[in-house]
Amino acid sequence: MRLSVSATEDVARRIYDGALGYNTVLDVPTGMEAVHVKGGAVCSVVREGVGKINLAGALKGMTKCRDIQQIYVVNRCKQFEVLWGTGGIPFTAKDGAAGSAGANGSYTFVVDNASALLRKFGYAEVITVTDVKAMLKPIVTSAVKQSVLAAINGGYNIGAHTDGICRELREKLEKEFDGFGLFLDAVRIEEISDVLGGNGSEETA
Amino acid sequence: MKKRLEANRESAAKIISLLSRVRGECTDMAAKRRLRALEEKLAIASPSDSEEIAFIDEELVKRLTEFAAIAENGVLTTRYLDRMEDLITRRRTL
Repeated sequence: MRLSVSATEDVARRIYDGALGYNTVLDVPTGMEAVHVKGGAVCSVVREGVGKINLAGALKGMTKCRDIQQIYVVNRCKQFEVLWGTGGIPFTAKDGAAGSAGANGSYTFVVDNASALLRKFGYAEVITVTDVKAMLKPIVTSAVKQSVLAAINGGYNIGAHTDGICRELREKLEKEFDGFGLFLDAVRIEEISDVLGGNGSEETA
Repeated sequence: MKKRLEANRESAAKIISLLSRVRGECTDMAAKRRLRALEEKLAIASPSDSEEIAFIDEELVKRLTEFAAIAENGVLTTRYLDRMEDLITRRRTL
């Protein structure tokens, strides 16, 4: 059996679900990876070019295999962009006034480990950028809040300290993304502000 | 000339794919970042029909393959990354 794997514009997509013949040949295009899943676990990964999966091994001569298996195509080369934003970060200024900070920006990532990605997303039929955004949102929001508060408590004017906050954010998020089989390319802050609510809408940034 | 241009373009795509594969297998974060930077550098390089590119690409593939093999054993891979950076910088000037 020979399967030609088509490229995907999504992060990952299931392209086959069913019985698979032994020694199936996969033709994988450049920039993609095909992941063979059997019994709910990754069996093998085929990189670009031609590769064989579901090897018969000792069952030479047999062509049919009744096990239900899946094949996923994962986009390894495309850079994906996600917009993030968080507001209502409460803080207390040095003079005791209560304030609220907020920030928004974007991050870009690429797939690093196809097997880890599929495992974390529960072998879903399709993994889109929106799915990744939803999955990572609590982690990103938490990291942003921590970094912004650390800058405010450190006495920085956060509007002028975005590079430092970005650096800290990146350090915090890199390892988290790695756990999801993703590589964090860059984190950007487009807007950041802290507003003191005690005296009306006085901006300090 | 067109054939050479197309061949160089395909070769670049294959090397980018190989770089992303090696990056995925690498466990050292600093090395991962450098490999990713190499991918991006190569991805934005202008197409060229220079014949020298074939030789550069051959060495790049060789270095990458060696890098993947020794990185697993924790051997210092900095000089491989340095050499690959030099090769890609040279490739971009052609």
